[in-house]
Amino acid sequence: MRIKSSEITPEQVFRQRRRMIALGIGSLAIPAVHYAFAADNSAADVSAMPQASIDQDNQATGLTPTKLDIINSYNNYYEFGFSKTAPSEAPKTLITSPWSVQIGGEGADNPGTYDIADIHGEHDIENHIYRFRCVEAWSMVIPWNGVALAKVIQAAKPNSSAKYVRFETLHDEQQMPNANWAGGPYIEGLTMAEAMHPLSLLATGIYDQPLEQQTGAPIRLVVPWKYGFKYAKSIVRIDLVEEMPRNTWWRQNPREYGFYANVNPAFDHPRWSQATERVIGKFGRQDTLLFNGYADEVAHLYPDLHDRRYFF
Amino acid sequence: MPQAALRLALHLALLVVLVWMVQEAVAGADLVTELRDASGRWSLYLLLLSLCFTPVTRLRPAWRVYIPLRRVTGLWAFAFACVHVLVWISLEFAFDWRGMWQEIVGNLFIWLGIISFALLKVLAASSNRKAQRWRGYQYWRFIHTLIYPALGMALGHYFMAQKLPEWQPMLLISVFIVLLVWRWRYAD
Ligand code: HEM
Repeated sequence: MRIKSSEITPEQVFRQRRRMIALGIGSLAIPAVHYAFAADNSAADVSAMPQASIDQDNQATGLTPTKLDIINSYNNYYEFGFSKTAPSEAPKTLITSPWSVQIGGEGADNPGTYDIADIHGEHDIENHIYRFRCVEAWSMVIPWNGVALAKVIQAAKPNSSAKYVRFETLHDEQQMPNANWAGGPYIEGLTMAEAMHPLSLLATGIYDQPLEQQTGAPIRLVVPWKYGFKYAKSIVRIDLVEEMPRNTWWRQNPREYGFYANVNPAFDHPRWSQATERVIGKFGRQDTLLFNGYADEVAHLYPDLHDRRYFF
Repeated sequence: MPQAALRLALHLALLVVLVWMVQEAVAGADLVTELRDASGRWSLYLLLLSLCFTPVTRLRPAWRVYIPLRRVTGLWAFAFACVHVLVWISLEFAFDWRGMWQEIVGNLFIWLGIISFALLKVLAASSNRKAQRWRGYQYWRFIHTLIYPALGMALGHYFMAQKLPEWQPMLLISVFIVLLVWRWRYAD
């Protein structure tokens, strides 16, 4: 629109301004409309599915662990605050010793309560250097120490109603400043097959140091082919159950987060691409791998790799 | 204080903010996100501040002397937006244009940022005497009403950048709405 300055009267400016103000307020409706109409499960893009073409051995030897001070200062742990730095800056209020984990549920014939020392005493400590991929499209490489989740579950003698494993984080307002952000304890879940997989760990340390409050002390879940929010921290209960547990993020924001949350570069998050990831401590990005690089080990757990439900 | 000194003081204060921001980010665990997010937020704070000048001088006419600071505020808002976008292009994507394009397509939240940034560029480029004379002062004033959609979209972008509804974007959006409603009712 071409307007000669001489033609513009203040009234015009006034009306134009009002139009712009309306446009300004109106633009706030864009996100609202977007959220109102965005589909819950956007169609799976079958053609974009990458092939599992990872040379696992090569990858495993090529991993350079992220520095410990970075691992310990860049954390998502909403019970201690919403920012990445809040959890490591929060006062150390979590009492991690003594600590016991209750193992039960209708699927366990041998329920019990275990101390961290019991868990360490009964099962071998394993060391695994795993990729860690957050759903927010950043990653680290973490050298974990912990016990195989399968061994802990075996000890509880799973019966035929053990279909899923439900993990519960401590929920204590005295020990966690933001304990109630989700209105209850943080819940996570796995299928039995996922939980029994040799990659799945109950970690108690990183770099041979005990976990810190902000990294989920004293015991947390590690499932390296899934997004980081699956790694329940500071676990107090593990239940073998018949029904699929409704995990916290699925409950909080079902449009963006689901139960399986397996890493897949071909299925975008509703608000960003999952094709690449930022490596914390480095510049630039790297390609994200199917199942976070563990496709050879875990792809068989999922009958239909084109089903989006497995990947958010 | 004479106006030149006032302006200089604000320039220096905001320069300190920028230096502090970079230093905090360098000291933190993740320079890239911290610098990207802090500069984005500061851009919004300053844009909102720049909208406060008219209502404030209407309430306290004596504060008209501070009006020249509005331009400084606006230019620094643009400078912080540039830092934000440049961090994204250089540190986050390392100039991987294909990767950036992948991130942009179908991503409404990024589009809002891009459109907002384009509008801010127009505003910054026209923040001088020559632009005021170009098609006359009234036209220039019309151009500068682009701040409303630019800020509305940037706030939508901020809102959508969060995983959960958080109070900070809601607070900024509320301030924005109050300022706009005031402007609508008492626009000159
Ligand atoms: C080319 C344009 C832009 C791009 C590509 C862009 C990109 C981004 C990205 C990637 C994020 C991070 C989202 C996340 O946490 O996942 C972000 C956040 C943000 N952006 Fe932008 N942006 C753009 C323009 C703008 C402009 C013009 C403003 C302000 C005037 C702005 C303000 C913000 C704010 C306030 C945040 C949130 C920071 C926080 O969460 O604390 N952005 N932007």
